[in-house]
Amino acid sequence: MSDFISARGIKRCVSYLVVGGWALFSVFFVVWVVLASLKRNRELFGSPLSIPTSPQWGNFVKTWVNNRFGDYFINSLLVTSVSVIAILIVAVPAAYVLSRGRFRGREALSSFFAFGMGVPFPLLFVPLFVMMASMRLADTLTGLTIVYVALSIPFTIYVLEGFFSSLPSELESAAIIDGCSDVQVFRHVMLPLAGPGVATVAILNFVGLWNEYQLSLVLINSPENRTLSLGIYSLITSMQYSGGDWASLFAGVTIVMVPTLILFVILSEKMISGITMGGVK
Amino acid sequence: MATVEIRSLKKSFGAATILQGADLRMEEGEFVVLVGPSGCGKSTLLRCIAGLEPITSGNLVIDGEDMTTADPVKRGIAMVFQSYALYPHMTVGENIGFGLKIANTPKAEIKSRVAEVARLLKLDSMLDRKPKALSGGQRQRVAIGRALARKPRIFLFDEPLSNLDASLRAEMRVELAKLHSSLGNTMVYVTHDQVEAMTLADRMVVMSAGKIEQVGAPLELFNNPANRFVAGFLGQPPMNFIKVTSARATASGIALGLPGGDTVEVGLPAPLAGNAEGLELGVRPEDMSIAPEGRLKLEVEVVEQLGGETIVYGRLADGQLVTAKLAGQAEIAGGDRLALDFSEERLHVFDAKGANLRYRTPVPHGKAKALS
Ligand SMILES: Nc1ncnc2c1ncn2[C@@H]1O[C@H](COP(=O)(O)OP(=O)(O)O)[C@@H](O)[C@H]1O
Ligand SMILES: [Mg+2]
Repeated sequence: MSDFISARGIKRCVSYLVVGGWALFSVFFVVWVVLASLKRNRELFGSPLSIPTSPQWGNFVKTWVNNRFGDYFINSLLVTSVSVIAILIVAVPAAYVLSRGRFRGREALSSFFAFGMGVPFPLLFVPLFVMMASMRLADTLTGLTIVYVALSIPFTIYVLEGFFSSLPSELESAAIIDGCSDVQVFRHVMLPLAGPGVATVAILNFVGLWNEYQLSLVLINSPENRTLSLGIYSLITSMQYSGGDWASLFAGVTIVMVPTLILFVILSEKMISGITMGGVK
Repeated sequence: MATVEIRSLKKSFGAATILQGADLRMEEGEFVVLVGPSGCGKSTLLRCIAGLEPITSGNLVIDGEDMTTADPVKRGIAMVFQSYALYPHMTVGENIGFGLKIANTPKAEIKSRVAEVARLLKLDSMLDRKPKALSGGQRQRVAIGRALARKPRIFLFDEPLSNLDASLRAEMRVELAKLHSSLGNTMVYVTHDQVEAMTLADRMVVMSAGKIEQVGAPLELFNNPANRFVAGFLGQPPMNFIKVTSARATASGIALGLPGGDTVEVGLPAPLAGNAEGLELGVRPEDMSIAPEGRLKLEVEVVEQLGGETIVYGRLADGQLVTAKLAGQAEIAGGDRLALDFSEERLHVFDAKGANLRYRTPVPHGKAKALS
């Protein structure tokens, strides 16, 4: 018995150490990048671990205006938020029907979507580019958005399907008895209860698409259509010629991180909370 | 208000047949309890009546109107679920009024109806709470309130009390009985608890493995079970089934041999004599008493002293297990030898197929009323 407890204690210690270490590591780099973005380039190399003595907010202005990060930011925000909204509009009802509907071929359809998750993106670069080009959507934000939505649907449906299946089916029965049509059951009962699941996939998709690089590199050419991840990359490339303006680069990285952090602060509570508690039993 | 009629109703899930042809008629204002072991298809039958499961074949008729394929809401039913199934994101008031809201009832009317139901169920003070801030008993009342709000013709209950603790369950049982007598609606109630069934039912429907075994008033089923299943299902501790050793014709019936050499004579047609194979006596534990000339010789194994009664577990001469429930307190201990006798009137005899050979076909419903 005591062996059992101590074995569990050790396990717990190890997991705390691993998780704690990993969290420290991440936080250290985030803080370091933010601090570095406020230093002069000389200071950055002279004393990499110091707190900046006179914060250089100018780094941000330079990145935002001169390096066009303002435009890229708007592009990214537009593409990512429109994509996430479109993904949810398609995937939430689809996942509900796939998890609860009673029709022939439901399982086959589910597996078909799950299969979509297994396709490696690089395999799709050329066909996607050709398709987009033939529709005159290559090098447009609209085209990029469509590709993002299409490629995110399998994963999103997969996660939401699991979530919907975990909701008690007696709630649906109760709603049907109360006179709801199928659509009303979804709108008044299942959708509100799926809130945490929807928040989870919204965050995961937002973060994934916000940081997405490969597809936008393939599909976007013109500088005015660049997203932030392409912007960072172009900044690195340009540094080869203009000499290393590392502080501006870190300012750019900070700009990229901010929306993700804000989103997590707003939605993380929703992600974790189990809203269904107390409804049944 | 409403009669419900089920005609050879069958239900299958894929290849598995869960209900194999149920026939049942529920009269207006009747409290009908479906009772049977877990998994026998009670909930499935209830969900078929509610319209939550499509009926595979057969008919459902409500108030003379065929409702076999009608939408649940058209059937005029309300249902209370085992898990209560309250909408967790809505307040108590919204839960109760949800059905009315879906039916596009004017807001003011919803409000007054919700208030009325809440008053009836003593929920007035918690209309703004969410279900998770309620106790089990309160959630149960909200679930009943939600059923009441739409003024349905028929109430369906699926094991509504099984998540409550014992004392609350007894309390709610009384509440439900009161509710039924004040509303007068037809109610169909599913349970696997025979105490609930016996106390609440006007009529009881005993089911096993997808079949209706017997229908009747609780005491009628208890005193006059049609078969071994019903006899064994009702009563606690359950009826003793004692295999007989011989069956011999006598002047007035047949004499059945008991383990230990004694016989018991019952009035049964003579052709049954000679073949004791599979014949069993059914004796309720409470119908046994200690008697010096008792025909059942018991070697006592365990005694439970409950104060008001004494339950004795023992074995007969050939090792068959027997339980006896004796009134009052008795000085008996494990290892004692007891001679027990039993009331012959209350004796049942079951054949190899489980049919009760002493089953008396009940007087039909209508006639009994006319006579009394
Ligand atoms: N949706 C379903 N699909 C397949 N089998 C089911 C379904 N619902 C119930 N069953 C089966 O039907 C049988 C009866 O179930 P149920 O009516 O819930 O029993 P009870 O309420 O009497 O305990 C069980 O064996 C169960 O496994
Ligand atoms: Mg059940």
